[in-house]
Amino acid sequence: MTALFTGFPALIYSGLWTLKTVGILERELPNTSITFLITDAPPGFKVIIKDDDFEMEILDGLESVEDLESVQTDMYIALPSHYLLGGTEGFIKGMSDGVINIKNNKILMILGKIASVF
Amino acid sequence: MEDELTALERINIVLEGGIPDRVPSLCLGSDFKFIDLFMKSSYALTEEDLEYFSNADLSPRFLHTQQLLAKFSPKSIYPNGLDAKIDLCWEIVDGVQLRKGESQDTFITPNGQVFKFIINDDGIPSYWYTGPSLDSKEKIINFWEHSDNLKVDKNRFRVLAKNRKKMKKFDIVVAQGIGGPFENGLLGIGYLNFAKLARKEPEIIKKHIDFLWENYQKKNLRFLLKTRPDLVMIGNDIGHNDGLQLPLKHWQKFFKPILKKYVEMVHDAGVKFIVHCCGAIEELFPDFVEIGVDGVDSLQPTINDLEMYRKKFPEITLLGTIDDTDLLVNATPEEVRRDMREKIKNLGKKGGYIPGPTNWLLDQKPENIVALFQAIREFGVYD
Repeated sequence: MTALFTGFPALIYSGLWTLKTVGILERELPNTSITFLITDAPPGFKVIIKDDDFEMEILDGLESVEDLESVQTDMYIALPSHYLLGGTEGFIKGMSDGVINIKNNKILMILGKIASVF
Repeated sequence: MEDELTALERINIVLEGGIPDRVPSLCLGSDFKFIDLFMKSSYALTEEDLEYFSNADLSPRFLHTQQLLAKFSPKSIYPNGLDAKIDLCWEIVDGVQLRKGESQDTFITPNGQVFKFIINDDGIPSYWYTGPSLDSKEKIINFWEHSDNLKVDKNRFRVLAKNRKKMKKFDIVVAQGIGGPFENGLLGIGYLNFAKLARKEPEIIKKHIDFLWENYQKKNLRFLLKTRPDLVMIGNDIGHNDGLQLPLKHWQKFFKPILKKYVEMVHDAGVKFIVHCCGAIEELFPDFVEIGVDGVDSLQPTINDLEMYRKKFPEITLLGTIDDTDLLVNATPEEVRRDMREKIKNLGKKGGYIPGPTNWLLDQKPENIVALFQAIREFGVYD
């Protein structure tokens, strides 16, 4: 058996997989594309949520926040790992510290759903 | 079949040495693999379930998937339930967040354990301990210099009271806990390091374990107790299939004194204390009795003499005991029922027994899990 994903992509995948498997993804998450960049653990990765399912792809060239502008995506988030692993509190602190870059505020609802798994 | 007592009353009576209306049941929770199997089975959550559980604000939390636990409810509690009542489940919390490991596909716990999230090629996630990060004496000593990395965040405990309240609607008690002294002390530094230092420089091991207690575990436990838990269950896997993972004298010298402090803090708060401890752990039972542990969970029946425990250590409630690696994976529901009937007859006649699968649900057949909890209700009634 080989690993499809490990590390931060696997963490986000695990959350989305759980939401999908118990039926919450279909009920509560919109069709969209989201790009993640954990700034101290590049490269970034992109998730496409479509028709009650999702796919994940590692974006090998996505190394920095500047690279995000060239990615075709409905939403993105770039942040250091510490703030992602800090859950809701960590996220709020990251926002107030100004170290989180976001495209499209709807991403917060989706992150909240993923965070409900952990 | 209506229950006379609430799950909490039933469990507390058992832990106090009494005999309630019936034998209570335990399901720690479910790992990713079991969620997959359950949702592919005829018991899968329906649209109606999802609507009901969404209104009840249940969360699909990792290892504490509230929707699955609630789905087992009797019809009197939830009309679409599986009539296979779970009385007790488990939720673990850590007051310090994970951090990224040196290798970027790993995560490190506050006490130095390295974990990996892995998505297997069948698409199912898994989460495993892969080794220690404090793998030298120098790294251990350096760890003591950074107690600020162990700053316990009380906000991480807020969810506990909320989760208890949510599950109470389904008459399910949530035992809540933190990592125990053995796992915290040993898995961060590794077996090799521990074996070497315990023999040649035991003062390093003693200092490390005391450091973790003072700076991390005690603070975690204090915040946990502030949430007024119904029960505390800590994770402390000391055994393997042939015995303990360390010599008994090392357990008694380094870890037992800290476990005693856990028990005292929890009892001082008026709460019962359960230890989840996998493996063949017969050698530990006299110590568990001595320090006042109320219940011991896991107790794989193929490697523990359960009837001997029942006779020799009546002070301790036995939890778990249902073989989750063979019986619940390979047997038929009828064989599971028979095993449960026998176990209740042999272990639960005079109380002191809370059966369930010996660990988080993983690759067991959903129909066997349903059969197990239905059998506990059917055969567990006290006259």
